[in-house]
Amino acid sequence: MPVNQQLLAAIQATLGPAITPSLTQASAGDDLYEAYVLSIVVDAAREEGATVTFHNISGAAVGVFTFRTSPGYIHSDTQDYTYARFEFANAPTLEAHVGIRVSGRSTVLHEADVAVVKQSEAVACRQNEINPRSHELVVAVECKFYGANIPLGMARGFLGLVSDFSAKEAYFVTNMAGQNATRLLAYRAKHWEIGVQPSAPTTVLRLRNAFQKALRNHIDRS
Amino acid sequence: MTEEECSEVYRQLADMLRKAGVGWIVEHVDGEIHLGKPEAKELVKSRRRASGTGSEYALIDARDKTSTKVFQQTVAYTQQERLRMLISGIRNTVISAIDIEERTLASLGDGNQLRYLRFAPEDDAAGEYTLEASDIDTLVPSKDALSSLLDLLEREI
Repeated sequence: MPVNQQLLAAIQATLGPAITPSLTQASAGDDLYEAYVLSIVVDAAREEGATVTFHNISGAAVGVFTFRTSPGYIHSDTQDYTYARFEFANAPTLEAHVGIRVSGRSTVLHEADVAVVKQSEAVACRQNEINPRSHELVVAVECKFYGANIPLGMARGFLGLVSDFSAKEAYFVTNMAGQNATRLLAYRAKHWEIGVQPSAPTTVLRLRNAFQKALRNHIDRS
Repeated sequence: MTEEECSEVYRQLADMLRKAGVGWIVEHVDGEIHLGKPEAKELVKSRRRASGTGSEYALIDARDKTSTKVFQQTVAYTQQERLRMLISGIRNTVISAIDIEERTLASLGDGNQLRYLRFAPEDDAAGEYTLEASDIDTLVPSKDALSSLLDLLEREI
């Protein structure tokens, strides 16, 4: 059967109008995916009974939520970045941030794509222009938005990151699969979830449940 | 489709993606193709060294079976597999991104007056862009049409 040029022409005509601007940025969809994973963390917090509100450096976030397109500092005020606040009845308040730098055991700064940090730590960091310490993170997530199966190197990078992290729960989350990458993470007993996207509701629910468990541990330890 | 036809369709799709500003999808798929397809290969450990090879492993031979070991090897993807990988890449990025945007806006906007999301670098206003619900309303018909066309293309492979 010859190549169906009519079908290819139709794909070409449809492709451009179907591409969202978040895919043509330098980050190639990573910014959007980090915001999506934050939304799953927010859903988990709501399920655990938290009162969720959104704030900017300058005060309550109203109408517009601003997220980073590259790693930044929690205390940065060059943009009015948004974070979520989780208030619990009987546990310390938490904050969820996107793309902040976090200090590892070695004191080297690493990026946490999504970080849930104790509010006391976040406030101290903003006041003193310092960076959160990884042991004050309740959840840390490495997010990867990719067009093919995740290469092994990404899983290796995550293992390197968590070896210097003392966050209680560190997760590797991607939109795609990756047999070798996940085999390595499973072998090293790390938290990971692959194929996380709205078309896979069971996978999304499993991840949300994992985040809920991490938040529940925070509540129960308080 | 023959191998040659699949290769030609892959080339044309890759060109379309590059022209549309999402050539990174092609780079990711090409990277996976370059690594090859991982496959398990089961070998039996023989009491005797395999004749002529000096190795203590040989392909399974029931007459001289002591224990089997699984080794990993990589083989080249066929042109049909390559084309399916690129189509899958488009589905999991271009099509999925619109669903992700919709879900993110719905979840973060739940119970507050969120009008749009703004993505901004710390020090370069040129890299800033926004995302709002009306953008998604515009994208959804094209997304649905593209999904149906990719279904048709996959059926022709």
